[in-house]
Amino acid sequence: MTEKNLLNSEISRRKFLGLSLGVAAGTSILGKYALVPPSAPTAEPSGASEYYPPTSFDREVYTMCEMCVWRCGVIAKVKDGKVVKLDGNPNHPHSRGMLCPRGQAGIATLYDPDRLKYPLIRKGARGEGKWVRAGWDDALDYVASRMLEIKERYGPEAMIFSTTHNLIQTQFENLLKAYGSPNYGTQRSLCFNAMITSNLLTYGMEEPGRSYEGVRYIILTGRNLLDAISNSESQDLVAAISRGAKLAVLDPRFTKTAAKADVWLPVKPGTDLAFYLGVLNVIVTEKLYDEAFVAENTVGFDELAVTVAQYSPEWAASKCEIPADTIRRVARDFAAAAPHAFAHPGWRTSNFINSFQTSRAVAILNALVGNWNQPGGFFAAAGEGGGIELGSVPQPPYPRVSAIRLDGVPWKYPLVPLKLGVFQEIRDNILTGKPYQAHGWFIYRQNPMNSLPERRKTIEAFSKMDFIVTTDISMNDTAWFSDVVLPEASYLERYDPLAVMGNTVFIRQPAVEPHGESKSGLWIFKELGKRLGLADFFQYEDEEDYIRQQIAPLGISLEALKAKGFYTAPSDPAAEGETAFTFNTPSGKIELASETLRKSGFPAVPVWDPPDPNAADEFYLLSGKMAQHTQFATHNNQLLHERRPDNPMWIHPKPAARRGLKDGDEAWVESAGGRVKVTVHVTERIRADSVYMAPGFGHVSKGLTTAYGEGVSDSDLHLTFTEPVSGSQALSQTCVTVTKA
Amino acid sequence: MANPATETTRKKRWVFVMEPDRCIDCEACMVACSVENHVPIGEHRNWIAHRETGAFPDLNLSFMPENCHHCDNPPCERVCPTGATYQRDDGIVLIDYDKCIGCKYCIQACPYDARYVNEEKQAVDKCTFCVHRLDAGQPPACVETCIGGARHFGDLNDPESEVSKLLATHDYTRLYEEAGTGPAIYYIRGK
Amino acid sequence: MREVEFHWNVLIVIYLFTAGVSAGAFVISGLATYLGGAKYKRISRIGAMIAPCPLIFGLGMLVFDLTKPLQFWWLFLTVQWTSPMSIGSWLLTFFSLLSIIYFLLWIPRPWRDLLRVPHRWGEIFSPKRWQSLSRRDVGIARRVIAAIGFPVGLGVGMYTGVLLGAIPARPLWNTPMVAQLFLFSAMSTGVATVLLIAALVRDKSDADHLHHERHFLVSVDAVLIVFEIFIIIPFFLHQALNTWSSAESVNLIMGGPYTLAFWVGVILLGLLVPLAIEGFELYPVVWREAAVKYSRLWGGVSAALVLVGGFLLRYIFVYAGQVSHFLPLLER
Repeated sequence: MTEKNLLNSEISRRKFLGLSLGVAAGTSILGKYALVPPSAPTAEPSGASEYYPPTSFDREVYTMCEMCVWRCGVIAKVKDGKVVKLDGNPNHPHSRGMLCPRGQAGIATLYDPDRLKYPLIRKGARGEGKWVRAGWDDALDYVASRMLEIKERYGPEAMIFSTTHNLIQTQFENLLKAYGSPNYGTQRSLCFNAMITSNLLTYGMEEPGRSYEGVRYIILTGRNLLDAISNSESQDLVAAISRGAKLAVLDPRFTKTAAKADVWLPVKPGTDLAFYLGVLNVIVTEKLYDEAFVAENTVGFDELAVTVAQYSPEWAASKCEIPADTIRRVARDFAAAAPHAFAHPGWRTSNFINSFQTSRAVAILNALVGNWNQPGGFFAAAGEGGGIELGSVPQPPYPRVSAIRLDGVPWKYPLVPLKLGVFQEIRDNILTGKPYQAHGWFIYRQNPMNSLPERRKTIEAFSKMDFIVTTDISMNDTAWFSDVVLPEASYLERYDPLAVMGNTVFIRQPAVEPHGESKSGLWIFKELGKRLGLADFFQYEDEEDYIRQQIAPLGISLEALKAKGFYTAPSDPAAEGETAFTFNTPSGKIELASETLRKSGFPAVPVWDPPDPNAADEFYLLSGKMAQHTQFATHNNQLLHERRPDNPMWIHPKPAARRGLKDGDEAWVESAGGRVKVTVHVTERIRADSVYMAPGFGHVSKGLTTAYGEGVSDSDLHLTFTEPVSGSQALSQTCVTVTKA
Repeated sequence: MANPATETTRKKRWVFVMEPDRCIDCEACMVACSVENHVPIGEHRNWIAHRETGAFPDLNLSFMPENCHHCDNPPCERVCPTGATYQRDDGIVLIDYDKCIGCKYCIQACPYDARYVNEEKQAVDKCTFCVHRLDAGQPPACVETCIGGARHFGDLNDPESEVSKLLATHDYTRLYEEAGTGPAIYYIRGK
Repeated sequence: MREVEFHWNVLIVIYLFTAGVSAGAFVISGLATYLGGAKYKRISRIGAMIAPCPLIFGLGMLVFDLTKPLQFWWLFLTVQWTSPMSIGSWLLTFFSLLSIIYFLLWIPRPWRDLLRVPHRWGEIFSPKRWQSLSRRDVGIARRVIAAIGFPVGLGVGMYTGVLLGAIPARPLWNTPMVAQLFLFSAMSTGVATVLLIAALVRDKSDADHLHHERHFLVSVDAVLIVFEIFIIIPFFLHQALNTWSSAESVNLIMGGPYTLAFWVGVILLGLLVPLAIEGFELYPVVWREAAVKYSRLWGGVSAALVLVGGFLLRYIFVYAGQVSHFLPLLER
């Protein structure tokens, strides 16, 4: 088989859907040349006609979606050995019988003609795209020998492991801990470090849950729920609005969420903190807070009150460009609706180097109005302790790690939780070789080539590596620059470790056989572990055995779990509601002023921290999701590519006109990090001082024949700014110039 | 002939009641339809119309989910020279793909631009209200997956149906109703 | 303006144009037969020889445009009374048959004598006893076919417009005046084709014959052009004063993308310039009772311009019509 065919299936794009989705194609060819006239009209056609899709299937497999990280329950309808349709599982709390466009399009990820079939070993230069097909034994032997070689020569810390939020993360962590490396990269510092860290310091939990039932006022910041869909929560928001809940949205863009809002607050980028300080000022000075709740459940109110006294709405308006009256109105309406009101903690909150303080201010606002455990307020979400205890696979203790982490946690970033890390710092420290030089990188289902800011730096960091191995279902941009690519089975073809939500456990199970020779992560880690001399850490026969060990304490069979896709354990009434809830903070209360922050040299209560201003002719480069794509992983999906093939850059008509740009024109966008040519979308839906590009486009891997060269990557423009408290990469802080191409 | 602008005496009348306020333009309906009905890449049986008005910062953006309106008095059926397009007793307008020779006259005649040429079938194609699912007792694929809950589907002539109740309690409009097509998509607003 | 996928393309334009040319050629040939007899014999023959040709070519285009070309004949398994295309297909079939018979009747001798027909009912099943037609039979047959063909030919000319006009969803088309405009344009392009062929073919007739012939053709064409102009004027008035959708649809040819092609191509080159040339040719007849001032060059040019204008007229209507839409138009 030629190298080309390893990557590019012979099946053309057009044919792909015809083969995998089309059942009616064959008959019409005959019909075209038939010389017999069609029969008399059928009075009532039914599903029986060959032109209509089937309504009965060989089997319906209950599993979980992985088109994003929300993990909706899906039902895979299988006919003639192929998945023909995916439905939302009505019994799953995240889907409730519905799937978003990405979930619906999963079938085109499963049957993507660009799927990897075999392990590939690089033949030419990195990024040249020359590969040799290898058997699994050869490929894994090679990977293991290179990893052992690095461990032997430079120590285990010279090997970096990185991955994204996924169900098999525990086993990935198992692999890296058993190997002995402290260097673990996740996507979190590019996403929600600011939010998580601030909530840990305020509430003692990563992310408080939100109750939409009975909510009367919602403020959204850094949570564009109707573009960046999280199925059940997006459903909840629409339903709440429909019931009459008021919605205020802070966003420099008029997003689809803003379109549904009662109040759109087109805040100046980087000044959300000023807005919230203004709101806190109103709440405190006008005594709109819940005095009893604050007295009983919080610490540090007096210090907060003194600090926010200086931030009048007029002062805030001068910073964030939201009129003072609007700030007052939002604050008063919010307080009036409280406790059935919340300011959302946000999600991808890593926008500016003051984002941690913004998230803190949001957390504090919720605490002041006393919405804790109220309908329409905050609560301790499932996963924040409690729930089913699964069985675990036996394993020996991990080797002791003596080396410090390359990402600066905690020696440079003392307050960043170890499991979050500061991913961009790893990349930068590969380049500096300080505090020591890394030599190998194991990347599992992650795409730092697209996700990290300043792609040229990432390419440079890759070039300093002796060895890079990537595991994914297709040749993504990171795999393209790797030495070995291991093909993983897609989410519809494999088992993963179970997902627990409170008292219920959900399974991901294969609906169809894996594509080519692709394998599950559970299999890959076990086989690789064996070759690394770490077999004791992977004591399971196969995927099913792993899950059997997990469900052992539950007293159910794997078959029973597979049949419905979930199992709910009977709740223990004695345990429920008995133990008094305490916040897992040093004081055991919600910390409006944090001694932990003060001790680490940061302000104990939020204070104004202005971001760098943009120059007169510069724009803030905003990032933000769209409903039809997930991060960097779905752009080669033909159904989603059809919906959104590229990412034209939004620009307001006034600056566009000054540059002679009309809708659809091409323009050069330049930052200190690089320069790209974009197509512009001239729209009123964005502030005149900002431009916006959806992330995830501009793929450079020729192994992605659908997505290759479509749109541009904002990673070419983003600069690396790390927020000092939470380690967040500030993704909206990069300023760019725009000139007509 | 019944007045085409009002509803008929059909026993059943399948209709959509759309709630633009709940549509978030995520296009899950479009993808679900493409997969369910094997719609070729590049063609669509349903879509979301946009209406954007105003200037920064006083903007308004609304979304109207749409598909074939399955008119009570379908202009596409009228012009079909071979009788390939026909209407069922419950008002659903379908195409007999074997009888369609692909003259595309119906495409011109449709005021809603609901029809396209399906190269695989060598015939004109469009939304069928997922008649195969309907006949098996399931709602159309787009309705089932609508995460905003903007698409409601049911029998207008059943006073107990969700759609009947929604129309009884809301103001509604239909698109190009004045042309006498008797469209089966109702758009409701507010309480 | 909305983005449009043009489901009907130039093949349909050719079809509408050629059907009109055929109808016009047939009708002028028949008219010449009735009005002039031997005087216009050359016109009658040219018209009859032309009539079936463009139509058959155009029908080929139409069939080729179908997604199932080989199944075109399914059109004839049914009559759909509300479908202009169904009625038109039957009409066109009938017209094709007539025009082919008419063609055969006008083939010059001695080739015509190869055509043998049964003269008695009993001979129908014994082709060996069939005989050629006598001169008298041919004369009668031509008149009978022409008489039947008049309404059918006019019907075909009208049908090409009705096909478009019967669609409310396309406001630019949806006016009865499109059918009238296309009918007169069809007749005009048919006459122009005869004029063009007459100008190209070396004539052996005497001057007197030619004089009559030209006078006849040019005056008929001039009248048709005037008719067209006086359909276009009310077309614009009515569209502009009609519903929002109709009024907006006219903007496609009043400032929109088809403006130049319409005003320069159709109005100026297709109607006004040929009318001026024809006026110049007819001027001596009207004012001095002299012969038509005719040159083969100008005659050919005016005929060719009429054909170009007629083609463009259909092109613009077919394409612009597909852009026109009910309002309010919702962006997708």
